[in-house]
Amino acid sequence: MTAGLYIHIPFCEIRCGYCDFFTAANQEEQIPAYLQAICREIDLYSGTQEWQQQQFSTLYFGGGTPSLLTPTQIYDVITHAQKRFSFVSDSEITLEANPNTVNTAKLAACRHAGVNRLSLGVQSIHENELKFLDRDHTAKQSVSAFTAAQAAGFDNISLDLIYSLPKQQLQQWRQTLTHVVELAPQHISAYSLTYEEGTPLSTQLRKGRFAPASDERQRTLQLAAIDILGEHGLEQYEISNYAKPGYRSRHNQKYWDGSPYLGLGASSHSYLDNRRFWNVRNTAAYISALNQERLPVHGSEILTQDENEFESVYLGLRQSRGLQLTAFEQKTGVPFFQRYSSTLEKFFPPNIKQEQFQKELLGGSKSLNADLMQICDGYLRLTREGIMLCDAICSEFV
Amino acid sequence: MQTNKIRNFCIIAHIDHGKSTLADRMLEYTGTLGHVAVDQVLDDMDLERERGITIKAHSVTMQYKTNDKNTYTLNLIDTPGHVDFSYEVSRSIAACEGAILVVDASQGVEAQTISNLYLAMENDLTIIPVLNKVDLQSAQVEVVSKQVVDILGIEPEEIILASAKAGKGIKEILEAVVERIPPPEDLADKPLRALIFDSIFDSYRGAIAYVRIFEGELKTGSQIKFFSTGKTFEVAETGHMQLRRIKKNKLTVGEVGYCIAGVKQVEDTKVGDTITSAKKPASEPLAGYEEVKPMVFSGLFPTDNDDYEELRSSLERLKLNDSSLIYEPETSQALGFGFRCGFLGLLHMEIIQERLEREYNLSILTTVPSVEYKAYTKSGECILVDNPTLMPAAGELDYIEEPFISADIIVPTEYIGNIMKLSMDRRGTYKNTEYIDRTRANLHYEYPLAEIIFDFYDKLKSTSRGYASFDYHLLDYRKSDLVKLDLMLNGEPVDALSYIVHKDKSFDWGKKICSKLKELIPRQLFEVAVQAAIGHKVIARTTVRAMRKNVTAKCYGGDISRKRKLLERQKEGKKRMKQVGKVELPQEAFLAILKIE
Repeated sequence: MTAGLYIHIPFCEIRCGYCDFFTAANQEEQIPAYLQAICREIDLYSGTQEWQQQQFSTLYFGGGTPSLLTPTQIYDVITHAQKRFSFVSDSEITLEANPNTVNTAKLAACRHAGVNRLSLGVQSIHENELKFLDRDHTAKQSVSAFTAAQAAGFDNISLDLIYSLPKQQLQQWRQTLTHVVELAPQHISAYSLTYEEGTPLSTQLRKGRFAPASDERQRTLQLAAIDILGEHGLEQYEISNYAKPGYRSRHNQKYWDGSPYLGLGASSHSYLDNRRFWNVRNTAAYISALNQERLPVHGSEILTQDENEFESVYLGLRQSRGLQLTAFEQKTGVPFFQRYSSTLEKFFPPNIKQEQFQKELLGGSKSLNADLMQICDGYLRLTREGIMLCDAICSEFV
Repeated sequence: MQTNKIRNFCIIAHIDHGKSTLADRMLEYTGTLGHVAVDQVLDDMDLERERGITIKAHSVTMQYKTNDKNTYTLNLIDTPGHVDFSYEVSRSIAACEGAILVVDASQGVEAQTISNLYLAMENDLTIIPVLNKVDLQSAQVEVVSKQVVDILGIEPEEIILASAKAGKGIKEILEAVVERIPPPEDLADKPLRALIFDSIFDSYRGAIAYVRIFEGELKTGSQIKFFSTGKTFEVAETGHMQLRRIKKNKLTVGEVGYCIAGVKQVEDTKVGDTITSAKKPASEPLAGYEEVKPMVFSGLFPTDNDDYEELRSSLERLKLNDSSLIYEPETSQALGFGFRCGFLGLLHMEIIQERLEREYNLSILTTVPSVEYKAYTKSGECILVDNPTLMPAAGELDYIEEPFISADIIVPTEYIGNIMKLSMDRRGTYKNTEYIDRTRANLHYEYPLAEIIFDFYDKLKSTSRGYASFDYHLLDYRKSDLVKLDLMLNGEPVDALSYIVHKDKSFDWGKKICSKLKELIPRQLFEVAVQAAIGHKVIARTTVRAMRKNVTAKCYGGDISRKRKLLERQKEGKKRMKQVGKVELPQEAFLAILKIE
């Protein structure tokens, strides 16, 4: 399995009410020092054997607003990373971008710097919705940014959308969906709005400023996304992700299939061989640690056998293809049926025999269907109905 | 010790009327506390303090120097303050020659005070009436004095006005105890007869009996015998209680104190039993001993089946210091292995449940409390049914009898209508009314016990703005038209949810229980059909719809650990639920019946 490199750029011009990523609004003057620190962090990890021996195939600039960086800054980071780590030749290099921070010239320069995939934060085509989300761009700017990206030569563009806003009707959501599919992006991420603890929006919710979308509404909207995007060739491959064939996010899939990833920058998480660790969630502390040649790691965990098993199931079932049952056994050392036969009885007709499971279902010669999940082609996957209840189903596997 | 220098007394009062505060002040005044004020020292269990009630009686011995410079030994015997423990109260009263009647000057006489007062009068106790909290603005000294005068048939001058909180009237009360209450009879020459009015369990010393010596003496090293069991023990230690044990060589006639004799369990030191000498026994025990019988039965199940053995040993340990708790193993199809327990009343049941959870750290599931029915089969057999699942099938059943109680309800006259309406709802039979004064009446009713064990007391309070008070005792068994109501989830009967109800109420209850369960059962991955049935006939149904959406939108590198912990907690939350078939039931579901309006 090849590894992914994530670089967190926390800087933003303003902070959006729903966002719970680590961000730093209005501190752009810190960018040069921060990027220097990123390069130091690259140096430190590339000096360790465990990361030196990894083959990387993706690099992802997330944020925050990475498009606040100049193309030169982006170029410097990419080349430094490629110098220190081993990257495969067709690596996927993604830049998250805010529609109001880009134009054709800048995007062309980014492309020259090595970026080959763009993720645009469109969110909605309705101005009232953009306002509710505190987005500082218009729908028109989103469209311009998209055409600018195409003009700059990008042929792998993803759009981010958010739905389940309070009072949002199916019709409005359908308008956003049909409007963006007309642009023919290769990839769409559509997120149901979540009120994360500590965000301004969750405070407003608690104060009763608005009512959140009901479960029923959220469900209707998600099903509309699956259907409309599917009709336009954007196939759902994870709870919130849709892509044309060959355009799934290679980087994000690493999070779900257990590949190693190294997260650089403040608050970033890394994972390697059952160990997860994360950086300090503070820009100044991050920079200061690296100035002293110290890794800015703030915490870590080593997954227990149980945690490892559960994460495999949870991350597997979030994907449309499901959990590959033989891969589960390879990763955890435990045969799936042996571990979860009583859990499976809650979903499938009782009395599946271990022998039948090992012989027919694991190998994929037969399939088994139930309301919420199916076993097919050697994968355990959620049905259309099951996807809606993914968390509740997965908690049965804890 | 000369008996003429001893006074034994108790305090009769309603909850919150100031009994514990008065006791504290008396201890302070007599220097028993070493002049350290400790609030409400008599209630030494956390639970008692929290619930504002005294569950177990204790005694305390005080030395009091009167105005005429004589020193007297005053033994204050505390009494439990809840109707569940009325037998224990009666034994405490039987150990005394006098009682201080404490009435809150702002609230007047309450039902429980009256019934305990009558008990004291039946035992020929001298009553010292005290009006407490007279310094409150809301005090109605004249009105309440008149009530007390009418009830006791005394002169108004006999009433002592006091404020225990402010320390007013304490000396007068102590003087009255010495002057008015007669000393114990001097029967020193007779064989030992000592009344056990309370007992506790001490992990180091075993069962400790609190006793009042009526005849003879109790000496360290002597052989004693318990009348009810015939078991003999050697007295290891005896003495007075002064908040802690004060060792003495012997307790003589008229004295009150404790007795430690290597008794392993409180079952052998039963309240009401008589201790006599093993060598020279008395021919008869003291009068009034009764085996305490539980009135309310309920299943206790560990939420986690693995905790069964731990529940068993916890119950064993609780039983060591609470002989009124009875239990035997019970198996439920829905809940697995547990125990059927008998309690003195609902409060007793709640206390046991809370102690198991707090002191033994167990998660306990309680099933709907039931009374003990008598089911007569067509073959003439009588089956005692303390658990609805034991009820014979309709085809075999001839008729059912249920326990009835007689109740006193004291209430301001303007609420009489409300009480009558509540009583109709509870199948009550009106007997008669006595007027305590122009504004307050004592209503006499008979009810089926099953109708009052749940929430009758709460309802009584809410329908009378808190003014009604209530006391009852068991009458007899009477034939009633009862049916067993079964609940089914997805077509499967859940035995722990079965309930015996009067036929006239069954349809209404079936509907209400179904809708209550719908409210209490959280949405699950699958739809849950809830049905109520009598025999094979379904009389009500509702559906708990399946969950509609439960999925995290975002799960990238930085989210995974957090989401995993979230789902682990979600699962942990489910552990408090009971899995019945595919359905996960919260604990409250098993008590849904109690929550029906």
